[in-house]
Amino acid sequence: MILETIPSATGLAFDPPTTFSNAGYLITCRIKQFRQQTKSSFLSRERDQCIYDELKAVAAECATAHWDGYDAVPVAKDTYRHALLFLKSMPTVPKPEISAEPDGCITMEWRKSSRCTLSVSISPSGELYYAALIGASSRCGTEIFLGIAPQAIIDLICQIESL
Amino acid sequence: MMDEISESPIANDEWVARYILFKSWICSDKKIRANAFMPYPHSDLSVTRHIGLSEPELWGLGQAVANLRSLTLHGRADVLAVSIRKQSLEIQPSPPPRNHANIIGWPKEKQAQKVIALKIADAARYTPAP
Repeated sequence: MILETIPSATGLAFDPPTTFSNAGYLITCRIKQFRQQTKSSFLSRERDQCIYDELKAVAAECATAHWDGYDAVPVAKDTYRHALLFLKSMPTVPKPEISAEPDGCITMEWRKSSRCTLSVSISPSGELYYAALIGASSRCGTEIFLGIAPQAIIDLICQIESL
Repeated sequence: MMDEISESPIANDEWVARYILFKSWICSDKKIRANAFMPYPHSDLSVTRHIGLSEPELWGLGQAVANLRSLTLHGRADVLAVSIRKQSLEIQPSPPPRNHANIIGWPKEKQAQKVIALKIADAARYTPAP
């Protein structure tokens, strides 16, 4: 017979079992694990929606020519589409700062400090121009976005986040 | 006299200002993003020399740029000329307007421009508009 504290149906806080068998304790741990996974995936979806909304707002704000009061090229629908797919193709990574550039690219920036920054520009044709400053070293390159986030960029994000 | 200063060669220890016209160019830690230093649509980047200008005059020139483009002047990013030359770029006096200069010699490839812009942004000092 398994005697343990049954976790509440609503709360995520978990009371440790007062009396338990090995099997009961295992079940308790699994339930706890499941709840944590569910919670984190919910938060992740919320977070993702927030990034998508931000991207949409930036694209809409810069969708007309001369949006910078000068000679800016509008952010094209294709650029927005590539940027959205790029974000969706990412594994769980921290939220980037999103902005537009006068040449019509959308920029995503992952930043811990000015010496620990990755900037990726997404063009209407799906080129990803990236540059990173990490401590005293710098990296840059171009990748063509084909629906999968390039490993070189994911590695740079991970490197920045690990510092 | 004013024109003479505007057209004089730019020394390494001179400060130049890049006016900040977009909030998105400012980071939460009050540093400047690389986007502020990307050259477009021209192959050079406009800056204003501090030399011979009072603070109100420097801000006045920035406000004039913002007014011309119907934008808000959020601040300015000040960089020493030597920080720009370290990136194998050159700064050329180019008045008018008064004290205007261009950062020239940018590579053609966007990814190479981005690295340089990141380095200049790292060296820049942000001052919010009064």
